[in-house]
Amino acid sequence: MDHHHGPHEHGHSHGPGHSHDHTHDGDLPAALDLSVPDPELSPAELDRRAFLRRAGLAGAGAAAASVLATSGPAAASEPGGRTRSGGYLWLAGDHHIHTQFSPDAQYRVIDQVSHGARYGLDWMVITDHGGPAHARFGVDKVNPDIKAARREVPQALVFQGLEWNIPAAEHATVFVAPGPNEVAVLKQFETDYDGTVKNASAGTPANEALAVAGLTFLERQVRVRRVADALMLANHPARRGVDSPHEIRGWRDAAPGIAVGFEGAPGHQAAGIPTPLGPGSGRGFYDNNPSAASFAGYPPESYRTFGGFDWMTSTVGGLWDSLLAEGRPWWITANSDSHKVYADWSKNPVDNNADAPYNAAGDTYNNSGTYGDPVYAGGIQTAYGDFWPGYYSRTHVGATAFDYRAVMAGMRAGRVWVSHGDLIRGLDVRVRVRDGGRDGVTLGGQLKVRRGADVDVRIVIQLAGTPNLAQVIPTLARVDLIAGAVTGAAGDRDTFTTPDTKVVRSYEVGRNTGQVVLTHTFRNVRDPFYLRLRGTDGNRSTPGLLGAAVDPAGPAIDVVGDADPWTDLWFYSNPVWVLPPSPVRG
Amino acid sequence: MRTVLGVDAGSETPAEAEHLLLDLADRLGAGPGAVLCTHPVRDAAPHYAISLDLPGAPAAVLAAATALVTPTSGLAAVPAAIPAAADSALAGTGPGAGPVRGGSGERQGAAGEVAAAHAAGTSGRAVRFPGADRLTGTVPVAAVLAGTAIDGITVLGGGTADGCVLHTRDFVRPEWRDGRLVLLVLPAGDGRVAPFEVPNPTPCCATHG
Repeated sequence: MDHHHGPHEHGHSHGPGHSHDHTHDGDLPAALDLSVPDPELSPAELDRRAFLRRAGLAGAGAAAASVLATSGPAAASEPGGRTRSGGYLWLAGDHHIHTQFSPDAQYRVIDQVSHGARYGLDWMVITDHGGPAHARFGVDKVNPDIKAARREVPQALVFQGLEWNIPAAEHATVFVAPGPNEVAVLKQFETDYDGTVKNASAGTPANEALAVAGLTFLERQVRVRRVADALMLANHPARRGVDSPHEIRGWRDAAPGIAVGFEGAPGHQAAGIPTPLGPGSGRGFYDNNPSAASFAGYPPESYRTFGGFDWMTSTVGGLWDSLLAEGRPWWITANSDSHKVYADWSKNPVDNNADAPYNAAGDTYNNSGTYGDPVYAGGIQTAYGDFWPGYYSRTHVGATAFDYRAVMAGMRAGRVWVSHGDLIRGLDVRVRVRDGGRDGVTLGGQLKVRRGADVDVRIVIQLAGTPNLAQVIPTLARVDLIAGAVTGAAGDRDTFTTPDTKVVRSYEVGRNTGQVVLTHTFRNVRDPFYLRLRGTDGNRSTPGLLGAAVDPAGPAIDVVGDADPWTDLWFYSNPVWVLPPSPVRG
Repeated sequence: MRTVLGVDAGSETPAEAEHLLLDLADRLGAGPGAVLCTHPVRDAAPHYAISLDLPGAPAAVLAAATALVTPTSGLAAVPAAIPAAADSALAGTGPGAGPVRGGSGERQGAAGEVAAAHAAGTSGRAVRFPGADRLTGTVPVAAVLAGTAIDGITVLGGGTADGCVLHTRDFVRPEWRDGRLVLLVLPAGDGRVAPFEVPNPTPCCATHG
């Protein structure tokens, strides 16, 4: 069924109004009946299910339910409440989390992991800052805490990683699959390739080469099976303008299996809450400007967020699209960058003075690689700009199983979408050849088609249904379908625009419960292209930076000191490629 | 044509460059008509150079300035608060400018470039300019344009600043663009705009910067 809506229709909802028709056996309370997904439980039932889960009793209900259940809904729950749809288990996670092992943070590993699990995360990566003290002490010391968290919070996969100071550039998440060498590999990587450890921060060709060498080192560790897998994603890439387009292309091309993407939205999403109740800074702590160290070509607006998202991602036809137009994978994520949580009661025991002793033995951060545990701060801290993992930003990965390798494989494959404030709970995208008789592909996938084929896109969205952590059930106002030509390798590796990408269709939704199905057909496909999705609560939309013909209603630039994250919610998907045979592909 | 001085003393941060800039301007007797700028120098060791447009007798100003720079030891007699800059160069552009003095080749090149860019109005971030001392607190945009050397206000992301008030944050740094001194602003809610550049940007993180 084809829904056609121009960009100016408002208000009325549509979609077949397909709600989950679940009947549960009278003997089983809804909390025990795992055919009823979490979002459809009442708050009391959800609490009951969470209690049963923690007590290890939820599974007993599942055994009974599987005997009694009839046909499952389109999105069915696994034991543990995770959603399987489109053939994948969708696992929510966060690959950018700091602890007391970072010089500018404070929480125990177990604090971050237990909060993240409480807020529904299935996987997390602990990414403390690279630096001399971390390389010598922290990378070793954090590992037992991570292992303890894995035991104490079995419903979450906890990876060890680090926030790499990319030589010549900004920061990146680097992490490895758990294994006997996880620490050894990360320690060697940090010692030999961290920009702060090696004093290699300046944007020189030699330092750029060191970054590439670090990525090929990781690739080698995987190839020789010292670790089972490794990934790198650049964090907050536009924040200081020091990740030049050619460096991003360089990381991708040097190690395409390892360097797979960047944050589409930074963490620190509470940073723009106005004073005196908040930090009063730029959303994402994006309050910088061009400097002597920055790439001269980046315009001033690139140093601010748009609807909470990084300019590289939020600009339709911008840097991210210029990478996708080359026909090479590059994925986006969204994470907390959690250092200090907005309105938390605690603080670092020595106020993050890395040379101040935090115990009687005289240990400091710099000589021990860690701080002591957080202490009571005397009141809520409104200058902190972060959320707990999973509280606001989520990266959803389509995995084949609930395990470490599957999460990493799903990220590499681009089966990833991101959300803020739980604007939506589920996203299933299928792109298939019309009358092709096959399932087609999903996010990150490549659909091979013959020239002249019609291609159908089917988008199934699970709307919010239950309140987010601001106690509001957000309304999905609009979904945009964005498409762009694959034009092959860019001649200028510092290109950050592509002229062929634009919003091709917008759907007015205006609902916040149940499920909505959106469809589109690309007819007579002759040239390779990609498509991706974006959706919003519609509160702040404005023509995009490249003009209304490209993006009539995109995210607005965030106001420094006045950016309420809860009133400006977006979700983004990663792309799907449609590839007829073409000599243009580069 | 104006006589503009350029100095590259290798200042590592904008704040350091501003400090040097204001100190030098005072010692050269800069009055309210001065336009003082910082410039990023994007070379292998990124840093900031400065330029000074000091109305007054060019020869006298240049003599005073060149007295500060010696060929061998660079910028001389700097106060203790300013990092000593052994490798620093002074250049001038315009009538009576004379040769570049002091410093290594790179410093001389940058000093000459920033002086020329300032004189031509192509680039330079103005720290002091006529009327700058009036820009504190909140000022109507119309008063900014009428009462200072700022020629125009550009709203990032589109739109107009007409009829708005400028929330200065006591930190206004317009830039030379195409011969005009232009202030970049962002909307700041409800008929207000604020400069794009904030006074104390969030530092990268505790490990460096």
